[in-house]
Amino acid sequence: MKKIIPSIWLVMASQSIMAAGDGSGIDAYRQGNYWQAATELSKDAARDPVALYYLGRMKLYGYGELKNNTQALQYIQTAASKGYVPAMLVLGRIALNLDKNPTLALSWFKKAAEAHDLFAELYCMGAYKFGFGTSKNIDLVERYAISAAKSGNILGQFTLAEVFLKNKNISTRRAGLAWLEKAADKGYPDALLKLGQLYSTGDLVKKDLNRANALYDEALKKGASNAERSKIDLALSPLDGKTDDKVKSKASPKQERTSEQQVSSNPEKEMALWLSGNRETTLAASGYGLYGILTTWQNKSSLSNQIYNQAPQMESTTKQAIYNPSFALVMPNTIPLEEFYTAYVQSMNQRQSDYDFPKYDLVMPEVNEHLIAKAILGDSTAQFALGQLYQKGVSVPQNIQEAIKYYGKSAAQFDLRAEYNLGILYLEGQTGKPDYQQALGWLTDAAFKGSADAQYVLGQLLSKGYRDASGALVIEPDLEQATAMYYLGAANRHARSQYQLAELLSRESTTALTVAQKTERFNLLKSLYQHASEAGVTAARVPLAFFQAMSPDANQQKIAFETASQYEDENSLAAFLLGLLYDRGIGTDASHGKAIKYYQHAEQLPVTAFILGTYAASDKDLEEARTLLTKAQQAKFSYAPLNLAILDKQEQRDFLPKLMEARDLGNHRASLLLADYYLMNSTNDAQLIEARDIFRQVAEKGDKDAQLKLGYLYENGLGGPVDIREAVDWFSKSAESGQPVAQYRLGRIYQLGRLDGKPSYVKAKFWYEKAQSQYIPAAIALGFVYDTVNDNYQRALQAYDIAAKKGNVIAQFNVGLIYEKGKGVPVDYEKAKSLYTFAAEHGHVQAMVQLAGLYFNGVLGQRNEKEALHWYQKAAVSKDREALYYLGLLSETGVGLPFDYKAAQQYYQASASRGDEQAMLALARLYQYGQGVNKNYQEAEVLYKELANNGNAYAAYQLAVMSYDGVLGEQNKSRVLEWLQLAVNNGSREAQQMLLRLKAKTDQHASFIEPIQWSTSSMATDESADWRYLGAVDAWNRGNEVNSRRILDQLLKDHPDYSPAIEAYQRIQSADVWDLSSDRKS
Amino acid sequence: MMNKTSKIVFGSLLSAMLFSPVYAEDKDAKRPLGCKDVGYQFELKILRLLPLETADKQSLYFIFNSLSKPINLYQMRQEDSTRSIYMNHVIRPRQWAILSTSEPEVRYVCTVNDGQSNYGKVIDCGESLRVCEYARVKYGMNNRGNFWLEDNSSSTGAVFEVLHYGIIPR
Repeated sequence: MKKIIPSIWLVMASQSIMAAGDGSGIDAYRQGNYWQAATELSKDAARDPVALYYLGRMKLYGYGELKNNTQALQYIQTAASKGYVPAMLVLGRIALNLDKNPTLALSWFKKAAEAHDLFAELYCMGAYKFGFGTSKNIDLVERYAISAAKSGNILGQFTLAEVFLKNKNISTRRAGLAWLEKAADKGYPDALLKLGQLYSTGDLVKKDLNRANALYDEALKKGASNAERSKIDLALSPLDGKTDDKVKSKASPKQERTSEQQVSSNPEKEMALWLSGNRETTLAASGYGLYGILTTWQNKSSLSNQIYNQAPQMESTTKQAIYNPSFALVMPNTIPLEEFYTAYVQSMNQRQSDYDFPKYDLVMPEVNEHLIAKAILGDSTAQFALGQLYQKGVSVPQNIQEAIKYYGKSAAQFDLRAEYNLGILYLEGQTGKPDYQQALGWLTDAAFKGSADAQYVLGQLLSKGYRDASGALVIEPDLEQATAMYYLGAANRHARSQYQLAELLSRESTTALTVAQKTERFNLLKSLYQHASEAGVTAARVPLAFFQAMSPDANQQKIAFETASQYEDENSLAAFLLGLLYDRGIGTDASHGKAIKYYQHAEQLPVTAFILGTYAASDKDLEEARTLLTKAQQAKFSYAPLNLAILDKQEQRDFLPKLMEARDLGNHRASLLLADYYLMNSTNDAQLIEARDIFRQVAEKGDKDAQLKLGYLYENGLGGPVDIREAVDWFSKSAESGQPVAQYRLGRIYQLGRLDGKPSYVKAKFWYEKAQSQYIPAAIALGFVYDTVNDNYQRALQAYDIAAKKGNVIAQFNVGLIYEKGKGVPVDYEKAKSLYTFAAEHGHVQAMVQLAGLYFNGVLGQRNEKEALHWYQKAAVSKDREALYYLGLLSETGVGLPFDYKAAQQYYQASASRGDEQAMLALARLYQYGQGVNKNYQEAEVLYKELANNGNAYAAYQLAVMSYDGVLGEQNKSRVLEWLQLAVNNGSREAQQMLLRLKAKTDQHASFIEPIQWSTSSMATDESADWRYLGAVDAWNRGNEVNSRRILDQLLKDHPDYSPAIEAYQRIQSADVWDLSSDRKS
Repeated sequence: MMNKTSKIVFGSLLSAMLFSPVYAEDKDAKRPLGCKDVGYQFELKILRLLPLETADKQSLYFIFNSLSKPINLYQMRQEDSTRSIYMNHVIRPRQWAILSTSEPEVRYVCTVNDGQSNYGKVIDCGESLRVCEYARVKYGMNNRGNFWLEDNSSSTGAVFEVLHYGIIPR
């Protein structure tokens, strides 16, 4: 039963991807897999406006779809009409900037504003405020301002404040004041100025000229130049200001109304200034301009219709990159010193020292009348002093009963010294016979009142227990209470308590602690040893040195080395530390020889046995290694079974038992290695589940790598079902600890909208930016989002550059595209070439195609067919559709390759089967005209239909022509009209002419005047014949038959003997097709 | 008899309490309005109350026992002999205790009864108490000094307790 679970998960995982969009097309688009998106998105286009919008963008850019601006706009319009806000914003921008139609622009922005898009709301607010594309309407300004203000937008808040302040109703005006204060708090200059004016006139607020002045100053500082005037007015106004205020408060609203009624001479300029905080004079510059391919691309050849533009790419990451089990010996130098310290102290019993009961010095030197009088009058210190003198027999005969009497009096007044001394007195049996209950009672009372000495003594009594003179245990040990007493003593800054507490705590097991708890424990131990050492507890010095050695501060490290050197003779911890310091070069120069010498001194310790064993293993002395490591393993030092497991693996023995032993001893590395191993090598469900459990356990302790790995399991449904929310939780924890891969994966989830179906590019960029310098895929992804979502090529370039400089080929390719296409930079073919060359030489297939294109088109100077062919052929090995198409074209036209229709057909076929529309058109043409193959209208029809259904206008037109000609069976006029209409809808001019002609024929009232055709041959006549022929065929393959025929005509006039063209021309002319130049068949 | 100011403060405090949004789970364990997360430290298991310098000589602490058993608070004094009263206290489970103090520092050991020692078992104050301070408190002339007020199970009730004493937290 268990075995089938993961396969169900896999099915669920794949279904969840499919169900999300039938969203595989949308997902593919967001990842930049445009070819896949091209096939998948059209399935969703009928119902999903997002799919329509993405298709529109692909058509607009020529990414994965042949570029077609008409269709792009249609897709975007449909998406907008179905309520997709980004589509509305694009249309608003187009209407504003291309159509110069502010009314239309406003209608799109209004629609977007209804969906609470802030950007659109601000536009509408401005349009109604200044009367741009509409008449002014203060009610509508208010409506949009409310929504914008609630979203926290300062301009919205200020505008709303302005509107409300002009209202007559006092409570509305007060609301206006509240919004004004909000905007002023955020430092909006006009709001500061306006608020200043309210304070200067005492309107709605208590008049306060100083505050007004301060607000004006701040407004000035923030750039409100008109605040200067208000400052001057304020300075000139009479101090009482009463008359003026009345005049002003009455006059000003009227004046404002008048100024509002004035007709704006240039509403666009005013609106732009207002939106941009007086920085810009056009709306285009204020953020409402066009961007991307519509304005920014400098390379005109990338802007023509019916071409593919190569798209930027994301770096793909693999499971292997995350789970990479490394069976290399754990070298001692890679283990944190803290772990060695803990292992050392836990392997050593705490040194049993003698009891240390602090004694108080005499408060008074002798008994005298004055002291007795004070004691009798109730002075607790005098009572204590008398007790001391009687206890010790100083200046009076020793009398313990008298001492107890005076201590008792003093203790009754909460003198802690007296309580303590009573406790010690009973404990030591100075009364003749010890009274342990009394002793504990007095000491505990003193301890709970804050006596650090009592706490320290109780700590000792309870940690070790206490035996009487006969050796009988009279006070039971209670380690928990002892620790608590040392805690209290330490809180009282009692140095010996601090030392004892540190000694107790360092012996506690750390396996169950989280990373944060370990850090806390580390800091606590260090500070306890530090304080104790500073207060003169010499035993604290060597442990402190261990912690100093872990400090990044070189001075501390030096002190650690000096301390270890000073004590190495008498203290095995110091000798061990010295070995570690020499081994790592901490506080001194590294010396492996010296390190080994010190380790060997302490070979009996499990930690040193581990270290020496591991070094023996790396020196290939396996027998010695196994002996030493086994010794450490028996003492349960968890790294020992781990390294033994690694030796087993290297010797191809069963390594799992020892690896599991290390894991069971709480070794994180062993757990993670085991889990990594399971993930990469196991198809065993139980082991995958165990891996997930291991990662969870380690992740819960705060290990950022385990958190990443656990997140990945949830993201991809490994060892359990897919759970994106869990994945996000774990990635977030890891990302916040600075794990760059987790930051990347988190960004990716937001970019692809995996959490709730909607991408969050702001969050995605935030995390990508954090990871970009450490993790290449993050830099590329950041560039990709800027490149393809924000059309911000400068930022894209910056991000790509980080990865490109590290030699990443995808980044180099993406940068190459920016320079080749001139995206926001001048076109630079040379730069593009060198970037593509590097990427191509390192196997990047699309870079090979782009490089070939540069050589092929001769943009680098002379056309270089040889190089072009070389790279196309290289890319074709990887079945790149574009390379295959070009090889087909070269074979068909005999450029660079021998004339070979069969080869051409095979190349076209291979490219077409991968979705290349040019190759499909080429193939359809070969079948339609019988070029190199037998004429086969049915084959041509299948291809044209597939193309036409994907929006290819030329294919639809050809289907109309073929239906009209009856070559597909009996002529079917309604089918002809349907295909023609489809072609027209997708932007075919030829189809439009044919449709008009047909309508003119059937409808007597209509007439058709043939439009004048301008001869616009796109091929220069100084090109060689074979290149001109290639140009003609290529144009046809892009659906530009008219131009193609024109080139052929001209070519045959110039080169009447050029045989390939003659043959093609004859086939075309003889074909039973519609002649475009008249309404007759040829 | 409340003067006008205290009535306003009382009224606004009351309305803030009654109408402020109540958040899920443990509303009674939430700090009362205006009581700030300042003026104290948990250090090595003990609680140190360090009234803010801005405090008006007299400071008011609200201390919540988040455990399901009583917590004993034993005051630790720095000096060996002060002849001062120890302000020890027991906070009942999930109750707010209120300490009014004029001392610059007050330190407490926290214990829970364990049936063995009269003093109980020492626990980590930081894991069992929630503390907040009203640093700006208006006291009447006759209620200054160091004392514990009656415990209360809700933060609102605890504030009423304070008001009942004529102390007005602001």
